[in-house]
Order: sequence, then structure tokens, then C-alpha cells
Amino acid sequence: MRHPLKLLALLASLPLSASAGAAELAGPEDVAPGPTIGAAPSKYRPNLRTDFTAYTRPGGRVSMGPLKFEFGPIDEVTIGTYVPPWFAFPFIGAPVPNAYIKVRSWFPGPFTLAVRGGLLFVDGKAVAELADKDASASAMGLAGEVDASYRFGEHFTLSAGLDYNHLSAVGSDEEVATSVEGASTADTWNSRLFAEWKLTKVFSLTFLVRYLISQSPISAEADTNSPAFSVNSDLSTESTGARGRWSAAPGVSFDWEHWELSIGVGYGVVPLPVFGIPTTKNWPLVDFAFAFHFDLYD
Amino acid sequence: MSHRRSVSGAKDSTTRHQARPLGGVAARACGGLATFVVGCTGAADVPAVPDLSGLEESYEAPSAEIGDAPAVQAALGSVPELQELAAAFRAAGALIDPIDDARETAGETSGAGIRVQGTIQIQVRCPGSGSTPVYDAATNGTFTLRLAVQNNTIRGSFGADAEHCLASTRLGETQLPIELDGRIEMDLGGDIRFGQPWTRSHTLFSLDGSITVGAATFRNVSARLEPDRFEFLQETARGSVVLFVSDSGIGLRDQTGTWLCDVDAGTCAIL
Repeated sequence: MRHPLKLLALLASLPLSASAGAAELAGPEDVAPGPTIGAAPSKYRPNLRTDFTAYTRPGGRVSMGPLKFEFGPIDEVTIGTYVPPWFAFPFIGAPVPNAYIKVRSWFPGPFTLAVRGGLLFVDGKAVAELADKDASASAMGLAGEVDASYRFGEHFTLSAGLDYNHLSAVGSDEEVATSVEGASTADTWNSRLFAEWKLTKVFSLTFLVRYLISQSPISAEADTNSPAFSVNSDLSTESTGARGRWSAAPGVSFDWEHWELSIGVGYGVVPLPVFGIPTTKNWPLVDFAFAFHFDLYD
Repeated sequence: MSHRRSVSGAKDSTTRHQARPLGGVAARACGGLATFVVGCTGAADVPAVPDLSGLEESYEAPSAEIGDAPAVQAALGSVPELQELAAAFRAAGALIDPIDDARETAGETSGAGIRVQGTIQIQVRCPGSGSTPVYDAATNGTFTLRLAVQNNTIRGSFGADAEHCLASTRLGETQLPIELDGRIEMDLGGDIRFGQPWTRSHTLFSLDGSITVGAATFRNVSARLEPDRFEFLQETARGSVVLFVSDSGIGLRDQTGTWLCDVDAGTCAIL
């Protein structure tokens, strides 16, 4: 018999877990509304950071990295996906499709507002592989966030964000899974503050602070039937101990014409960006991201 | 807490019985079908549990002082179907065997640093009164338990609802049909902790309904069941006494002591 925590554990064990934090910190960026960074007019459109900010990639820009793939069809919209989950099938028997979309405000000026939504699906086969051979339920992660960024001059940007993540186990192909002990749901609310100080056109100092606002108990409901009786469990689980809520990660980032790299080292609660499920305890955390970007069209 | 009781029906047999587990009720769920429902988040509700401490106290300390053997025999005679009743409650006790399955299942949600709470509902499909169990709820009724889970334990006190639940029990060589109907509150004498072995040794029943065994129907009765002893709280003109059926025989407990009776000889002696 399985349980919801196991499901969370397996999700946490996905290969993307190590890179996801990095992916968020290291997200490629694009042209911001309003004045560009680096005064020199050029065909190259600077790459504003998209993770933890309200910025999107400029229209026509593609960013490819080992962690994320992003494309900006128009200036105000970026779509993307985390790459590692797609290649999880050698380990868990099925790819993990995921995608997100981010839409920012259209108005010019130093203030930018954006919303972002994401979805991730773990097929029942993968759940079965990782949690239990009898399991056939699937898992769904939904993420939404609101970001606001304000540019203080050419070099300093401050962003604040609020994100919500919902993780649930759902029925597989036939809407209702045929096995697994317990559907799992968890809701998490996080807030964050992200500062970027651009010292040169290429090099920036960054600082990210996160605060876990709340994480719901994990809900588990399951029906088990045998000829003689059926058991319906409506249970919830939550941690009994004091949990960490803060994390801080100072870092650096580099933004070349076609390459972007960021790395940060910090400590605190480590969230899985795709799921938003934070660790209970504080841990050292390393964020890393690396990508190549180019313009399909201007 | 008051407990209404009435007894009707005729005595069918005096042979001491051996409880027959309701075949298949304890069948493991692993081979069964589990369906999956997405729950909403938030701490799961914990149902209220009945408080049977007053009834337990009544069993521990009956109020009547019977005083002599004839009065003891008279009190025992007021429930001529005592052994049938004992057999019936032993069969009813077997209906809660799936609690152990639920304990194992729910226990897997817990672990170090994890607190589990909520509800476990078990619907037992009653096996019917035939010699072969037929788990058909439409034909043989159901017995539904609602267990409270709190702090990684299943609360030992809970309620159940029987809807025309048909089963059978054996009294000597005689197989007796049983029908259980109504609301039953039970107390197992302690909570059941996840991840720890559990053996049921004590069950207190308070029935707001009826239990029929053979031709005898008992309404709104209580009973206390232990592995080697069945007890039945009976009101008399002098107060309450506890009638019992044990491996040693039939007897009575009152305020002053325990009487053991020889049914065939018609004698009783205080222990």
C-alpha cells in the first residue's frame, strides 16, 4: 500500500529536482519594456532575466539550455518547458510533460507586471515505477505566480513575486485510477524578493530571498475494495516539527550575446520550482542555469 | 449515559458456543480494487467519537446487591437467551476485523515527524446467514464503521451503522442466523497506534437498534466482549448486574462479588 508522502517523495526524486532550482534562478531573460540596458543601440536585444521577475523574452527569441527551453512568440508572452522531466523516461518509464506560459504587462515604464501559469503531468506508469508497481494514478502539478518588477535606473532591478503551487494525484487514462493508496494534494504559497544589480553589460550580482507563506497538509483519500469490505480513507498528513520558511541565495549571473549563465549558493528551504513543494528543513542550496539564446525573428 | 434494553424471544440452546469468525470478512484488501479520488487540501476532519466511559463504569461496578443464590438464578433467568446473545455479539465483533486492515493501510501514511488525521470508513458487506458467505450488500446488508484518526492513532471508540446485516454464528452444533440493525457504538478499550502491533482484547458495545439471533431479538442492549468472556448489563429491581458467559460457566457480578452458576444443577455459588 502506498501513501501520498511517497508520491511526493517520488516527485522530489525526479531528475529535475536538482536542476529545477537552478532553472528558476537562471532563467534566461529578454527585452524589457521601456529603456534597454546598456545604452549602445544594437541589433542585439538585451536579455532580461525572466525567472523571479516580471520580464519576458523578446518576440522571436529562443532560449535553449539543459534545464529549460523558452520561446517568446511576442514581446509580452513567453512559453517554455523544463527539459529534464521530458528525459525522465529511462528512469521512470515515461516522460514527464510540462509547460508554462508567462504574460507580462504591455505598458512601458519602469514598472512591469506579469502572471505565469504552469502545468506538469506525471503519468501513472511513472508513478507506478517510482512508487508502487500496482499504482496507476497519475500526478499533476499546477503552478501560478504573479510578479512585479521595478527598474531603478539602468543597473538595479527589484522584483517581488507570489507563487502558488498545487500538487495532486489524479486518475489516469480512464479518469479514475485503478490503484494507488491515496490521492495526494498539497497547496503551497511562496513569496520572494529578487534583486539584480547589473555591474556591467555582462555581469550582475543577484540576491534571492524566499519566504514560505504556507503549505497545506497533504490530503489523501483512497477507496480500497475487497469482496467482503471496502475501506474509504479521508486522511491528511502534516509535519509535526518546526519547519523552515526562509531561504536566501546570493549569486552572480553572466549575460553574453548568445549565452547566459547564473549561479547562486545559499541556504534555507529548498523548493522544487515545478511543484513548489518545499523541503521541511533548511538545506544548503546551489542554483545553476545555463542556456543559449538566439532570435528567430525580431 | 442511559442504555435502554429489552429482551424478547425464546431460548434455543444452552450449549456453550465457540465464536465463528465471519468468513472472509478479514480478507485482505490487497487483492481488491482501489479507486482513487482527489481530495481537497486542508486538514481532514476528525469525526466525533462516542463516549462509553459511563457504560464501561457500569460494567466495572454494577449497582445491585443480589445477596443470595436464588436471586442470582432469577436474574440469570431474566435473560434466558444469554448464550445466544453471547454468540451473536461474538459474531458482531468479527465484523470489525477489517479495522486491522485499515490500521495497516493508514499506518503507511505516517512516519517520523508526520501527523496523520482524518476519517476511515469501512463498509463491511455482511456474509449472510448461510453456510457459505455471500458478500452481497443488497441481500445481506451492510455494517459501516466510521473511525476517527488523530495523531497517528485510530481512536478506540467509534460508531457503526448496521443495515439489515445478516450473518451467522454457531452455538455448539447449531448454526444460528443473526441480524443486526441500527446504530452501534463501540469502544475497544484503547486507541490503535499506527505502526504498532494491535490485538483486540476488549470490545464494549452499545446498540441502539436490534440484534436477532435465532428466534430471539434483543433491542437497545449493551454488551462487553473479551476473548474468554461475554458480559451483559442487566437492570433488576435492585439495580444493575452483569451477567456473563465465560469458559468457566455462566454467572453474575453484582456489587458484592461474582457468582458462578451450574446451569444443569441449578445452583450458584459466590466466588
